[in-house]
Amino acid sequence: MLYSILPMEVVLEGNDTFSPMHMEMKRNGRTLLVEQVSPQEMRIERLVLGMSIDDYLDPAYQPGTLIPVFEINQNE
Amino acid sequence: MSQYNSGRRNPFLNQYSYILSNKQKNRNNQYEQYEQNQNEQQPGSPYAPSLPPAPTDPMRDRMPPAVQSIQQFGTASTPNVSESNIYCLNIIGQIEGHIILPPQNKTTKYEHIIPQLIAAEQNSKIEGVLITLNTVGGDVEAGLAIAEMIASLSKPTVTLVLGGGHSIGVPIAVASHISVIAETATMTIHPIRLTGLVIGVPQTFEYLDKMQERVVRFVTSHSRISDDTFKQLMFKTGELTRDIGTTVIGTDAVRMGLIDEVGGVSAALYHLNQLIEAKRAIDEQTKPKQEGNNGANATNGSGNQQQQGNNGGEQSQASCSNQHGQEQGMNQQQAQGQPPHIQNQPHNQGQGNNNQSQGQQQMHNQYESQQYAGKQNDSRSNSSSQSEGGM
Repeated sequence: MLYSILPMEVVLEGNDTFSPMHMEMKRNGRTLLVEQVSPQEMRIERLVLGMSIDDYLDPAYQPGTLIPVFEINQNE
Repeated sequence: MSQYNSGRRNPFLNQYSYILSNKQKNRNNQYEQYEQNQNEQQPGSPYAPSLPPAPTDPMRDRMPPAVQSIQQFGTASTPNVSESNIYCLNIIGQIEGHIILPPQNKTTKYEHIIPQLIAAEQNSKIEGVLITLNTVGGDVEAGLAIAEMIASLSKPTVTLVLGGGHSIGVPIAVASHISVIAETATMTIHPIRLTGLVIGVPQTFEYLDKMQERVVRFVTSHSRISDDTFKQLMFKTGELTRDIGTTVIGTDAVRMGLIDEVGGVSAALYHLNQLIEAKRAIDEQTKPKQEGNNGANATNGSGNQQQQGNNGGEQSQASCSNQHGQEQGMNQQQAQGQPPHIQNQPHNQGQGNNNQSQGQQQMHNQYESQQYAGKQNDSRSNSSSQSEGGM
């Protein structure tokens, strides 16, 4: 339920066509939810599972951080 | 709290400008020294003091590495100063809950905030949390969840409303120990409704009413505003064109008791630091009490060790912050004649470490009763601390 000063139609504009493509990946033992923003880069949507609680304060895993694709090791 | 005059008429402004001019002088001196050092040093020497750039720099190559990286890459890495004991959390745009909002919305996501707050609570280096708020509202459940999380942190919290803290931003703004609002910032208080829908069945209306009641109850129990005043603001007609409700601006929010103070960054940080000092003092005060409970005239150091032993390896926030305790604050408190503990509620019942949990509860109660005496309507604090125990 939305409780906002913005009208619902403004907030939900483009909701029909919008479909984010998220995928999970492992990086240094942490599970990240990422979205591919370009062929070279992934953007962290959020840290799903950290190794310790302090990972959630680590700038390297903050939402919005870009990871170059060549650094990614999917098989970890 | 009241000794600090916030807002634009800052009595310390003259002192500040004096200090600033001195700083400028120092900086120039440092520059000359830096240039001298550079001349004396061999190339590749590990010692390279990082100083801000001179206003007119004749020699670019002698710039500190940080400045060079700005020039070459266009980015400034955050300065590697000593770690701050304050954690700053920004809440901007829509508060996003269960539904991912389309990309034109700037959002703060519930699932990003919650683990950060838990990490901040658990991290022994963080002693206070500053929440800056500029939100247009959003999901009721997510907003209330964030507000409850902020309200139940044991570490001092200060919210700073900048720009706007509308709709569900209101409970978040009042959730902290001390709330500060910028003079130009606004808060819109309006009923929860489904825009453009005719409410068909009475149950829908009752449901909306219930949701609304949650918000009203949270706001009135965490600020000085009364239930009646808040509802009056919420259902006022003629103020907003498309809706019923009220927009309150900076000073009005303080006058109505919704927010504690008008001010900016300096006011917010001042209060946060004061709260941190107070908490340290209280931590210090609880330390000898715990030793008494343990029945030993032990030194402080061994008292801490005993505590940690009780925790069974769990890193306790109380024992960590005990180490930062300050004697001075303890004396102040004793001089004020506060009773050693005001309430004693069963907290964490059924768990093994009774000494520890009682001590923590005492600290919490004392701290709250001293710091938040201004918030008169805090009728909910009892029930909330009980629910914390159940978590």
